[in-house]
Amino acid sequence: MIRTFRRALGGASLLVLALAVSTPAAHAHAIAGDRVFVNTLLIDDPGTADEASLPSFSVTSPDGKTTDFGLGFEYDKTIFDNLAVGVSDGWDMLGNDQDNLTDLGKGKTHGGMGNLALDLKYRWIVMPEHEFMSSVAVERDFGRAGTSGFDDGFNSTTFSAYFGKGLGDIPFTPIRPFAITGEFDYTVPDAGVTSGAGDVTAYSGGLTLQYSIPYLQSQIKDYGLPVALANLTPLVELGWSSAAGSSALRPTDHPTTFQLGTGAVWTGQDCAFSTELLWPLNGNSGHGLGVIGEFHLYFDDLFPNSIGKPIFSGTPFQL
Amino acid sequence: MKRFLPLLAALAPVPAFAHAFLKSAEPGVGAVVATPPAQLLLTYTEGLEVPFCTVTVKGPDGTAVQTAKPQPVPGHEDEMSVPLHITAPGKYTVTWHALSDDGHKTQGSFSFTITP
Repeated sequence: MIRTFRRALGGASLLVLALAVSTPAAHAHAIAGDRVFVNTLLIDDPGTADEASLPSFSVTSPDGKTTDFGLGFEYDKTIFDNLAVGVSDGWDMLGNDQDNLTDLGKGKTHGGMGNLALDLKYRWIVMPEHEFMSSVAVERDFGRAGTSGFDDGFNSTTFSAYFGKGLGDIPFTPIRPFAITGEFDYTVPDAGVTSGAGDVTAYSGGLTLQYSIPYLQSQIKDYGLPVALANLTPLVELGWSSAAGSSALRPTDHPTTFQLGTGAVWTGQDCAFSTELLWPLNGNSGHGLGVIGEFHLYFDDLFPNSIGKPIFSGTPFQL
Repeated sequence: MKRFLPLLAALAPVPAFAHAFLKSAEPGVGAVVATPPAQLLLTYTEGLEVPFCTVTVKGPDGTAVQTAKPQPVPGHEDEMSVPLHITAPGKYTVTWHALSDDGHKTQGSFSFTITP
């Protein structure tokens, strides 16, 4: 999966920072009891599924002058219902690039492919009655598989944990449509890898707060809303990343970033469309409003008898 | 090309196959009605395998008031009905488990109220 924030930790340049706020990750949907956790943009959802993001997109600015257009894709395939593999990559174009720390040329337009990433995700627990699920994942980023200056330039491995909790089991009706999801990542570069002055080991993650109108309509009160509204899940996402290595290098080589995404996911039967405004919360996270989004295909619904179903039946080692 | 046809067929989108989510209900989700309904009608976003679906409706005292298993609705593969025997006002809670045409399981619950 294309980790939007982790890319910021790979180097000091604005170019890398540009990539940090571009090409949102593609994410799966997940069901725990009465709850559907929608695909989110800044972090991944807690489920495993057969699906694809074709594409994810972003328009941001790392410095207020450079414009970064990003396109990304991801495909996830279940081996078991609770074990999935994924492949992802992305393409970025920097317009009026003001990054004078690279050799690409200031003020010009450049484009290139980012890291190729492979991941393995395991959903280890689902508690339907509490609308809760959690997964863990390991991802391998091939940081030399893309275009020089757009990929990390080094390989790394990321260990991730995810959770999702719907509030439907709380006996206070107004908050029952809400759900919270979260992700925590720890990224370790290959041995001996440094970026600029030091270690590029990193933490990243985020939280989302979702209000499911489909849940409201089908579990609490049917207001007879039109489909355009009835299938909508407004949400807020907070993403974060920071260095995990030498703290002395953080201000320059490993800037801590905070970003806020505000938007909504429209979920159909076979697909979903998400779009959010991206608000950088500090100077290291970009400048000005950005826009991110994705078109998401549910292969388990589109191709239920072929590539949309797990290779093997069962949910091994799931609580 | 011919040898790829089976593969293409396997990959072809299958219409109307997806998770079955509740689209509407009669009595409605969260509705307040004066007359006890003789049946509960549930309409989903996709077709159902009704024999493998379950619905329970419990009254204010926790007693089940459905009198039979879910029944298919002729001509409406996305619907199922459940006969009810309601004799008292109060809040009734519906809990359903659905199996869609393609084997996807979903579940949910809601309530409706019968006024005195």
